Order: sequence, then C-alpha cells, then structure tokens
Amino acid sequence: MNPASSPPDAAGLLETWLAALLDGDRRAAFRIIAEAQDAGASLEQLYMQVLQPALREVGRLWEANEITVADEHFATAVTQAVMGRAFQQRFQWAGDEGRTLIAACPDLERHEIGLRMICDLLELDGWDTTYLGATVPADSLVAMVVRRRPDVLALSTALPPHLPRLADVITAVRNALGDEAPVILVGGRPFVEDPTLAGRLGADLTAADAVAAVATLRNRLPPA
Amino acid sequence: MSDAPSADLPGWFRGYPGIVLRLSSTGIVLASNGRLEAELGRDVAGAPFAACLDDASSVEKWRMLLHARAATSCELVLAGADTLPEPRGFSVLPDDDSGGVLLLEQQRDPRLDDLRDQVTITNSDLAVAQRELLKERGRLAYALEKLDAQYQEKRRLAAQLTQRNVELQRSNRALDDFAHAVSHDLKAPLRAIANFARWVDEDAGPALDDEARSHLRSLQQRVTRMRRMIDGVLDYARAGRERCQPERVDVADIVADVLELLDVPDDVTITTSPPLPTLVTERPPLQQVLHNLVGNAVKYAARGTGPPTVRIAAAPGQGGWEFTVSDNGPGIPEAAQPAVWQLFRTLAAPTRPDDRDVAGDVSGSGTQGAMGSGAGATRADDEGTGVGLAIVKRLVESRGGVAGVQSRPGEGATFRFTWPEETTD
Repeated sequence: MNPASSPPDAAGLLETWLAALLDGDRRAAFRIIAEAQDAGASLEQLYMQVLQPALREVGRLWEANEITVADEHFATAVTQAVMGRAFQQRFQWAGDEGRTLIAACPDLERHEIGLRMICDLLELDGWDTTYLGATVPADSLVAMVVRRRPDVLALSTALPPHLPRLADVITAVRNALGDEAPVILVGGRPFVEDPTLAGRLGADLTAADAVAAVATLRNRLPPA
Repeated sequence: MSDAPSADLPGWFRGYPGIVLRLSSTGIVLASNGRLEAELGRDVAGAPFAACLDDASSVEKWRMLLHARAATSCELVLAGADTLPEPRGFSVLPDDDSGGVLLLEQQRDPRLDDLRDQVTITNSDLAVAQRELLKERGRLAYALEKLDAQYQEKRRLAAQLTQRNVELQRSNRALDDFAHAVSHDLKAPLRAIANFARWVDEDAGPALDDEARSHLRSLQQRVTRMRRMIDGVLDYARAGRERCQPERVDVADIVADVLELLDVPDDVTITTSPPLPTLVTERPPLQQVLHNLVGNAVKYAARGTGPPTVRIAAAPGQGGWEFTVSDNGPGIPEAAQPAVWQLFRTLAAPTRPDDRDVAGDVSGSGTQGAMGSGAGATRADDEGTGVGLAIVKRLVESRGGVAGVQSRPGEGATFRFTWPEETTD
C-alpha cells in the first residue's frame, strides 16, 4: 500500500466510477479502478471513498425512482468483481497468521459487500479472514465457528426480517462456546438505525461501515 | 377480505394476475383486485397504501412519487414479507375518475425470478471462491519468494566457497613454494656444515682429543637429524595436498607392501583380523598412513614386556572403514595422547635443555610417547623426524576421516582412523 501518496481526486473518481456503473460499462469501471490503483490509491481509499459511496448513491437513485433494481444488481456485481481485482492488486501475504475472523451473511441475507470490505481491509493488516459470503446456512456457520474458533465472528444483515436468524446464530455460538466465544461484530442498516439493537441481540460490537468496523476491531484486538 | 373495493375496478382488472389498486390523490386504497390482500393477509381498503410498504426502502419513495405524479412506473418493496423482499415493479396510470392513480403490478415471470436468484447466489459463491484463491496465491507467492531467497543465499554461499577455495589453493601453493624454498636454503648450508665437519674429522681427527672428537661426532649427528627434520617438513607439507586417482585397493596388499618395506624383525608377530577389505580409494595416502602407524607399532611393541605383537584390523563404518593398528608396547599416558599428533614435539618442547645429550634422543626408555619430565624420548624422536603421526593425522583428515589413539600405560596402544570410501559412480 502507498498510504503516503495522495489519492487521485476522490470526488472525481467517484463521479466517473458511478457514471460507468450506471451506464452498465463494465470495462470502463475496471479501467477506472485499475488506473486509480496505479496512481497509488489504497484499497481502503477505493473501498471507502469510491465503492461504498457509489453503492449508497445507487440505493438513493433507486429510492428516487431513477433506476431499477436491475441497475442495482449490475452495480453490485461489478463492484464485487472490481473488489476482487483491487484486492488481488494489493494483497501480499507477509508470512504471518495474525488474528482470525469469519464473516458471513446468515441464512437468507444477501447484502455481503460490507463484510467483504472488512475482510479485505483486515487481510491487508495481516489478519487471516474467512469470508463466507451471502446466504450461509445458520447451522453450518455455527459449526464452522465452533470448529475453527476465530477471534472474531462478523455478521451482517440489511433487512429486518432476517434479524431473528442472525440472533439465532449468536445465541447458538454463545451456547456452544460460552466464555470462549469469539468477539461478535454485527453490521447492516438495522443496526445503524437502532444503535441499541446489536447489544439486544447479543453482539459485542457494531459499526456503521466497513472502515469503522476495521477501526473498532483493530482497537479491540491489537495484533496477536 | 372484502370484495367491495374490487367492484370499483373495471371488470378486466379483476382477473389480472398481479396487484391492481385504485388510489385516491392522497394515496388511500379505494379499490383492489384482492391480490394485495392475499399477499399481506389483511384488508387494505381505506388504508393508506404507504402502510403496505417497507418502511426503510419504499415509504418515502412512494410519497414522493405520489406527490410528483411524474413517473409512469416504479419499484416498491412490500412490507411484512418474511422472505427476501425483492422490489415489485408497478405501472402508474392517472385515474381521471378519482383524481388519484391506478397502480398495476408489472407481470413477472417466476422462472426469471428464480434465474436471478441463482445468478445472485452464484455470484456470491464465485466471490468467496475467488477470494480464497487470491489468498492461496498470496501464500504461494510468499513461499516462492522465501524459496528464491534461500536459493539466492545458497548461490551466494557457494560462490563464496569457491572463492575461498581458490584463495586456499593459492595460499597452499604459496606455502608449498615457501616450504621448498626454505628447505632448500636450509639444506645447502647444512650440507656445507656436514662437509666441513667431515673434512675436520679427516684432516685433524687423529690430532683431536676425545672430548673434541665427541663434539665433532655430536655435530655430525645433529646435522643428520636436522636434514631428516627438513625432509619431514616437506613430507608434512605435501601430505594431504596431493590427490591421486581412486582405484580398487586391496588393503591386505598394502599391508604386505608396508611390512616388506619396514623390514619387520622376526620376533614381532603381525596379525590381521578380520580379513582386510578391498575398497575404492586413493592408494598412496592410505599406504602412507598404514606405513607410519604399523612402523610406529612395530617399534613400540618391541619395547613392551611381552612378546611383541602388532594387530591390524578393519571394520565397516559410516561411509567408509575404520582401521585399527594396535601394539602391546609400553602405552601412552592419557595426558600425553593429544601431543602424539603434533609436529616436531621435540622442537616445540625439548625434553632436555641440554642439547649435548645426543644419546638421550634415541634411548627411548620409559613410557611410550611420554613428553617432558625426562621420562624418555618420543616416537617421533625415534623416527628421527617427529612427523610420522602428524602426517597420519593430516592425511586422514584431508580425506574427511578422523584419527585417534586409545592407550593406557603398560597396556599397549591402539591407533584408529576412519577412511572414507569413494562412492563409485
């Protein structure tokens, strides 16, 4: 990473990236991010100043009835693909296995990009993260946590109807591991709207976005 | 569920497979074809349509749409769906009768919905797999880098080793040259001294008194001894340096040659057991080692208390053979054992400060190999050079072997050495 080099103009980058997303121009989208990385933009800058705000803007445009859900799906898919490329560009294993984290969207939940951002950013910090993606069956998620004993379990849900299953996962992990349960981090829109929700569902931590989550976890779990 | 509102819809809307609603200008449901009620499981007539929508994503959106009346279509998420709340597409038509709007759900093909679900899930799976692959590749790249670094380090060390070898060979050559030059320069005046002594003896011998003649004899003996020592230095310098072609060598043959050269007295018994091996190695250095050790053993066996016996044995060891040459001579005290391998002990630590006592050098009485303390001469003195065992050690070690001695006073001595065998390839 080149934290010292000044990132390309973030606002301009966001604008061109968003235009490419809304035009459905996948090649342009890839090129824009590759160029930004060549110019020294860090993964964190790309995720937080470009990809995440762009997805928020896509959501806003849908709510303004300016785009359809098909546009939104395309934007999400391209964002996922670009994340893979950007992460690949920056990821270098330093030979150490630091803290461990398992991240998943339990059950029917599909809003996975925030979790993936957390995983990627922590990975560059030397963490060993396991990203399980969307719609992970609750039972097998719990079994994996019990078997692997990660330092952190990160769960995300964007939709209130999915909260009960997320709460079930937390309860099952706590019942199985007791005091040895991992630190449980939850995120997603319902937790932003109701700051007390995370605690009520049995989670240890919550964060408004991926950067806040990474900062919180770095703080809570300094390098092993 | 009430059928009343549907009566207000045109007849062809009632059988429409999707949701149809007639809404007032303020968004109150005036009429429905019953589909929305079926989806939500409750009445909607008379209620604001906003109450049927997902609060987070759609209520505000709907209010703006209703207010602006600009859109002809929109996507909205229904409230209370306990599965994935995918947005529904609606067409928005102005309703001249009520001043409100008619809302028609756009027809969806359930197969397309399924397909989209599959694509979304597959996309997520691919993202997971891709990320794992990236991490694995990172690990491999790291391992590769480490291997490469190790390889580079090995290459660097090998180059260093080669360089050191070159330097070592150069300095060995220089030492050889030095040894030759020095020896030659030393031998010339020595020859002159010997000549002068002989001439003095020839010319003035009869005129000299006994003491002067004794001194002259001592002088001649010392010159002889010094010449042998200089030759010894040369032998030692050469030992271990010269390399020969490995060949098949029958050690029994070597021993036979050695015994013939040594001219062993008849009363010394030589035994070899078990049968000596045949191995592939350089013959000359092995013969030299056995020659020196057997010669040493024969000499000291004769000084023991029993009938003189020398035993030569060999046993296979790791990567070669271990040879032992034992005698039943007077033995060597443990403290003196390390010194037997040293070059010119008599030079480094003269047994007597009185250099005139020439006879003492060859008296050889007392403990085998003892140093100092006036107990007697060492083996090296008896050989006249003091290099025999030093050469053994140097030759053995230059071939990667180890030489050692075991002995207790009065119980003889056993010299052993390992001799690696060339791998025949």
